[in-house]
Amino acid sequence: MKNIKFMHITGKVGYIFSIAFFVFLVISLIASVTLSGFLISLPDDTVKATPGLYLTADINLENTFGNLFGFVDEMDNEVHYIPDSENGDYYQAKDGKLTGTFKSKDHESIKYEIDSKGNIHGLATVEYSINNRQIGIVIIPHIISALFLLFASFYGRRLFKELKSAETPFTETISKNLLKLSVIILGYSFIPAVASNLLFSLMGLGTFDSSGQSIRIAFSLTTIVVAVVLFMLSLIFKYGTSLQKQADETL
Amino acid sequence: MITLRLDRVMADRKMSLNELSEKVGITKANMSNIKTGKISAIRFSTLDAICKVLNCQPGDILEYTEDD
Repeated sequence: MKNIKFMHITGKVGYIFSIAFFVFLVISLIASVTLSGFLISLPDDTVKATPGLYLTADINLENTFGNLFGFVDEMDNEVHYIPDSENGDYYQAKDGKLTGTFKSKDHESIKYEIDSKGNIHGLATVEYSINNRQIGIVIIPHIISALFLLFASFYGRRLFKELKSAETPFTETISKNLLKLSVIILGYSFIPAVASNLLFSLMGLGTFDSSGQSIRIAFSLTTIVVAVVLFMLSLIFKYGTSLQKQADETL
Repeated sequence: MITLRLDRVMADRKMSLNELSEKVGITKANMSNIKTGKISAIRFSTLDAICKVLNCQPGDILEYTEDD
């Protein structure tokens, strides 16, 4: 039958892609777990500044991690800032300088100033951290996310394996794997996002990058819709499987 | 429940499973399933062909018994 041949071709292509995706995810996972572990194991790289003194380390504001949200535009030498209302931080651009307050580890509000060269002037003894450990920790939700995708590709591979050789699409293997896929994708749609937002809140972090890019994982409504559609498909295929059984037992 | 009594009619007609399946036009495996009652339904066309070959009535093959 033409449809069955098409199903077999789809199954073969999907099978190859799911294996490739699986291998890619395994490599990515190993890399991110190693990176996360390495960053967490690093010593706390807290930067200290005393009043009136420049920090010894220049900070590239466009790649600043932590609670700093300002960046100095090299074109007009003006300080642009992004207020972070969530953490209650306050930023002010004045005379080419960015000033503001941010919370220290012990939740003290500390004033600081950033000049157009990107140097930080501490207005009080500042203990502020561009903390590698924090980066290492906030990668964890991404690892969880990749784990969900790894499981999805594993069950996707099983589904396509069945599709490439089965005589009918209505088999128990297909309906069961569709159900598993829908549950995994549902988990993927919100568990990493919850973990990510929770970690960011617990660690008192705002957006992670001053350029506006965030590694905070957002909720995805589309993924939830995909999960629901897959769940409904699994129910349809379950019913199809029971009809197929009846048809097979009729002679 | 409905049970199939194909074996009884086949014995009366002295017809083997091989011969019957060939004459009816279904595989030996499927005919064996019919004979041993491993099916949940039978098409009129299949029943018609079996009755034609065995020269019998559907009632000779199908039997109703009370459920336990």
